[in-house]
Amino acid sequence: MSQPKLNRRDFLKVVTVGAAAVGGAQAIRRAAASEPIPSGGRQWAMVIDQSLCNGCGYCILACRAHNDVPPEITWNPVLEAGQVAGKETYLPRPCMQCSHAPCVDVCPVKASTYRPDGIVMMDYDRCIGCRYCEVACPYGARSFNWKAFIEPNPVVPEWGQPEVERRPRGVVEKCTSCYQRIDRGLSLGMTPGVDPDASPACVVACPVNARLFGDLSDPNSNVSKLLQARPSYTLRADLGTGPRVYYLPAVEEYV
Amino acid sequence: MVKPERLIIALIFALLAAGITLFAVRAQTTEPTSGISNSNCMACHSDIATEWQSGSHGQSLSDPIFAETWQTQGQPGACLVCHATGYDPATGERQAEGVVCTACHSPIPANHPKENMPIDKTPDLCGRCHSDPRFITENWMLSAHYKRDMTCSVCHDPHGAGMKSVTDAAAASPDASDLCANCHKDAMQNFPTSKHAEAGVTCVNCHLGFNVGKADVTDFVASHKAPDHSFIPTLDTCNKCHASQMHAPGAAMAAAAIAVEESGGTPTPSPTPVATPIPLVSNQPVPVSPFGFAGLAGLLGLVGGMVLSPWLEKLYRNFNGKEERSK
Repeated sequence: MSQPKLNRRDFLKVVTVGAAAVGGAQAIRRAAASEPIPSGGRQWAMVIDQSLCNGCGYCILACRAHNDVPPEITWNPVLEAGQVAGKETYLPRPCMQCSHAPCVDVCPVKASTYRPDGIVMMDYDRCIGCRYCEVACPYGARSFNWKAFIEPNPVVPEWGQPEVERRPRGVVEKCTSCYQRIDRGLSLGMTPGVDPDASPACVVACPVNARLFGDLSDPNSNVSKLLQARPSYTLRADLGTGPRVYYLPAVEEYV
Repeated sequence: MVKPERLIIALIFALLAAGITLFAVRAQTTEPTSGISNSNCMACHSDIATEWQSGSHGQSLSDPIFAETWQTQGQPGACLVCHATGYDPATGERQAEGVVCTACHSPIPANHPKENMPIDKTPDLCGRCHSDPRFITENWMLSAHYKRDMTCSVCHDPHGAGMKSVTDAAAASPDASDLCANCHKDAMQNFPTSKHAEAGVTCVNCHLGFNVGKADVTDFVASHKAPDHSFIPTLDTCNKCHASQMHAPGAAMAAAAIAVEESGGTPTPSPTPVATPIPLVSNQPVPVSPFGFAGLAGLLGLVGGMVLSPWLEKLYRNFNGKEERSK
């Protein structure tokens, strides 16, 4: 036959090159898939005005009610942050919804993922309770369910109605920026950050409007405008986590 | 391969079981009717319903003091504008007794469980009834709370129509002062060591005028009188306790105050106790629709039919065989 016979060496060459090509393509694809922020689309951000916050803790209660969080867990504590001009200031600390979240990086089972809109989500079915993410989070935003929450929630119904399922024992949970409210609001044609029904419960509950929520990709949104108008900072910017929660410091002129 | 006749028998069983179950379940559950009915809301929102029922919104028409006064005044319709829901002065008809859910949450969206019930959280909604000069609004507009865009529901629980609670029931003070202290932390740094605190005076005694003496609630006018919501204590406020120590505005007033004190004094009325609602969370599962039950019964019927059909076939064959044999 005139057909050239493939000897063993050539065969191995072809196989090696083919495998390398497939592997390389896979690597590129994986790199593209793990790109945290996809271009375009909404990017939710929260702005907390520390000169307005008086530490009343309504956000904690509303959060517990709307997300059915057990009393021993706080997704969104309000920390004391020292005095400015003789006035006590506070630092509410929700999940920062980092653009490069250490918790997502360390999760061995990919239970923590990025949503296209930037919210770091937990898959409670995948979570194996290893608590790596709890350790990795520099903000201490994650909590572990040591026991099943079966008691009545003491803050329901006074502070709101539960909107999500309770988490089982043995998984880590954290603030979700009330994704359920955002998603339902969007499906009904509302604007998160503007319509209370589409905004996170803590934002709605704040009696002094110290919290703002909105789309960072829209230069005309309330958060974008506020961030342009006033100096802001993020927590532990040096770590390069890219937090999506911005703080307006309690400067003397605003307190 | 399943014989077709067996499948048909099984299907007949399934349909029969499903039909009976559907009928039985339908007979038990009342069909939700359209229109205003609180029972519709209570089916799901039982926790809110208990709070509402024991609060003054739920009791607005059935309250014995109101009922009696209303009767003695010849049942004026004007009262029902606020004491009932959807009162029509032209026809004298009302949609519901008391201040029900739809009084504030209206109109009901067609796709309700998905879409939230509407609610206007601004003081305008509460102000539809709580807007009389006797009833807060004018003073409220003077307050720093109003100027900070705070709403009624920041302090008041709209369902229970009482005060909200921010602390554990055990640690709570007998009045709403906990609520003040929750935000006014700066003021609370000094207040606990003051003479006022030692004497048992709380925030609401001066800032809401509770020491001024909330008159007997059986009095018609006073029962509509809310405490001063400007939260600004006046000289009057001080004089209620310190009249003998201070220059009262005008001799008449001082004399009156001294006379009251000499006659034994009016005891500081205890503020109306805040009804701390017992939070109820039903751990009961969401009620299954009748079709769910029927479907399950149908499935059981199908299985039962499949199991039984060989026996039926056998019976039938035996019966036929006997007949043939007897012929």
